[in-house]
Amino acid sequence: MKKNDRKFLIVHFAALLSALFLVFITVLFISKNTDRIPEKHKLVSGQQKKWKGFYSSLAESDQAELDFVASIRSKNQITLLGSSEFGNSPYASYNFLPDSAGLPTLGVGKGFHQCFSMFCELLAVHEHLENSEICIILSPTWFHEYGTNTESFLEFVRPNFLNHIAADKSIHTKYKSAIGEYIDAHLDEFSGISNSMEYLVDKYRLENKTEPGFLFSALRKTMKEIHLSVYSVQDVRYRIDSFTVPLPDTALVYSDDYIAVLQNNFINSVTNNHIYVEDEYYSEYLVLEDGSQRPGKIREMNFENNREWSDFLLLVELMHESGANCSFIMQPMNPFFYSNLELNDPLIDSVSAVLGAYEIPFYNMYSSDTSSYEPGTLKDIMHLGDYGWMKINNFLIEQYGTP
Amino acid sequence: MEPRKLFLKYLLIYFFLILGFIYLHVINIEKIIYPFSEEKVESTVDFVYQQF
Amino acid sequence: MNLYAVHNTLPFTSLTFAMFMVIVIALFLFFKWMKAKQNVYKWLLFCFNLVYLTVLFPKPLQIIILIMYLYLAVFLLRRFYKSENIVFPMVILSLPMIYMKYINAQPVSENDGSFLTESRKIIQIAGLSYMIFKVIGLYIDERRTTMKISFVHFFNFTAFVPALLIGPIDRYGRFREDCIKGFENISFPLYQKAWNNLVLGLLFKFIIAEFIHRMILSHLVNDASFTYHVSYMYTYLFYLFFDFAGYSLLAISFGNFIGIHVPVNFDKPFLAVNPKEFWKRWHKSLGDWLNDYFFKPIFKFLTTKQWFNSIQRQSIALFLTFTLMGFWNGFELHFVISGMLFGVYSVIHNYYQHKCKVKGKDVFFGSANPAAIQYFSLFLMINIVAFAIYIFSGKLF
Repeated sequence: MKKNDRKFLIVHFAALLSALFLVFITVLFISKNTDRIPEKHKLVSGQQKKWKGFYSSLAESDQAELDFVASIRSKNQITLLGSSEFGNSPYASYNFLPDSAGLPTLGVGKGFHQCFSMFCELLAVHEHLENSEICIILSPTWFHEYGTNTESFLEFVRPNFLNHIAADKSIHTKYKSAIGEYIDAHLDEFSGISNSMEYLVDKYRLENKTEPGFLFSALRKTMKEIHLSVYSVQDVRYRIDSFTVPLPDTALVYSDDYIAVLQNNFINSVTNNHIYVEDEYYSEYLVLEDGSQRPGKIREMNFENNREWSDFLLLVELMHESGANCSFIMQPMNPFFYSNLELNDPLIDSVSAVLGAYEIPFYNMYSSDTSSYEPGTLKDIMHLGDYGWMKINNFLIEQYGTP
Repeated sequence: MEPRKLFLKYLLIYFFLILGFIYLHVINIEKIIYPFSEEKVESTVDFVYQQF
Repeated sequence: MNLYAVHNTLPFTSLTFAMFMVIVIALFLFFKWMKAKQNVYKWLLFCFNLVYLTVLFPKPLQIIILIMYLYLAVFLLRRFYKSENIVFPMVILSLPMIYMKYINAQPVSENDGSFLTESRKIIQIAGLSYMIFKVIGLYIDERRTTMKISFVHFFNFTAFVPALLIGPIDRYGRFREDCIKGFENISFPLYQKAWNNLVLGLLFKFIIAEFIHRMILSHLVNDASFTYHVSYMYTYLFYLFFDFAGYSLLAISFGNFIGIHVPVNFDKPFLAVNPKEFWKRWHKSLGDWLNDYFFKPIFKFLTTKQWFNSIQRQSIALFLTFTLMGFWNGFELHFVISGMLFGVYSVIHNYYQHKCKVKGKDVFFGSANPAAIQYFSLFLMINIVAFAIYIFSGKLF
């Protein structure tokens, strides 16, 4: 080896070793001088304000988060989780049931609110899930490979929730790891990463040593342990003044004749199509430029590598393990518009089988052909109409109407 | 450049490189400088809900 | 860091790229060890560039079509265009760049399917400006030679991955010689240079620039006060230097690892005492390019026409060169004004030098202490550069 080459290697090797030693000293020095003790947990206090109506997003306000937690805690209030079907219809369960059936009901959801967000929100209040009345309205349109998007994740899985999930030692590692995996897989879609998100990602990577980024997470965990007080994830506790939710009288289901009026009213209001879709919706979204109707076809669902399906299984597992008094509803799609809804039959059968195995009540409103679909259940091709809402109300009254 | 100066030059380079990597890319130095500031995370993608 | 960012991996932006480069370097080393023939080098380089463009680069089809357009344009120009006037060929070769700069200056609208929106998807190609400048330099250098420009060499030169995004701007003749020498260039002394550039580049770009951006720039509160503007101005200057110089060092480093002597781009620019020296130290490859392909032809043209006297011709050529540089950065006002301002600096310095030569003495400093002159000049240079670059940043307007 030439003299210059030897000199190069010696200089760099010596410099690198010396630098590593200096770094070690510096890191210890910095960690000793950032030794602030954070408070053990953050206390979120407030008053429960809602026992009817809905929140489209838990990011709306701090009160939304408080009311959600309070609703879960209350064993006499139904927490209804759904997505784009939520609106201002007076027959929507969170509007109808509190006043007309004496059943307090809080709705949470809007478009893109799907299984993974719901799983995380409920996991964040896992200690209150036992006997809590929870109903989840599913839609077949959710079940594709992408799963819950990051915008929705952040709107519903609030920072306090993530902090509590990360800090609470009683939450099973498998659940923390599932959230860590989601965050890790979507890192590019987040503007940054909070302490609790980092903790969950590291948890996931360290549990799955074959994952790329394992070494990085191991180094990060070591560094955090050295700077413990700065990087501790602060747990969150809620102190909520709940008002006394009135116990319902034994609610009665509404008769078929009663709700048939709603169906007839809807059918009579449809004048510009034969597929039982609201006139305005039809002309805005379903009529093409040449005046013809947009074709209605769905994609075949693939169970393999399907995030939403895995998220659904996770959600059901949590509901079962927590002892929640939960139920599920599967919304229909309009078979007068869609010509190939039978492609969803395997999905519906699988959902039914999974819920059946856990003995979780399931109201299946889905039908793939026009003969078994009741016009007016939906007000368009996939969103619930007043008639559909009343059918759900009857289901909920049957489930939760007797104290 | 003589070996001693070269050694010092690369000692500094490696020192700041490793220290910077740890405090900028492994753990976030902002959490040391601003320890209790609120962490605001947003989605970088705008998801548009399709009505149909 | 998402390790699986395929089709969205620009050079030196992710671990994916780093892993890709490690594999490429190992391949070159392997072929050298196997004593592969010299001819194999250019094909290996071609494969490396092609694989990157097709697998990792965000717009593979667009950039390959662009390279083919440029090759065809150079071929046809060399074959059929015999005039000495280089403006026409420069315009032909610059057409994609001119259109892209025009599109960039338009307001961004929703995904409305308009021609403008669709054009944006096609023509906004990372690295396009640098590629066009390299090809213009290639055409001007080779237009009088009879040597055939093979597509492989052309492709390797234009698509050379380490310098694809923001240079350094290389010269075809020099690059081609490196390719012909091939595996011979790959040696331990060159690896030492490569390693030195690598560690310094990593420190500059991913540590110092990152620190300045995250710890200082991001936390400056824009209250439109004088203090804010001054703070931002100096901080941005150092951020830009460390980020840009760091990137250049990484490009040089990876080039060295595979046997290409990528030209130096930054050489202690804050030691420059006048604008002329500044452009030999800051973004040197651009300064040299502007000198050879803008300044000299403009000056020669003015001299041929016998317009103005010599110092005036130099000043006009300088001002136009830097104004064109401003347009090359973009059609937005802040880019153009920034370029013009650098032009003004150079013109003033040119006149100053001319006056000193004519009078036989320093017309400004007189007989002041040379050390004091140097420090004052350094101080002045840093401040005027900071101001021009602050305008360039677009923060002011």
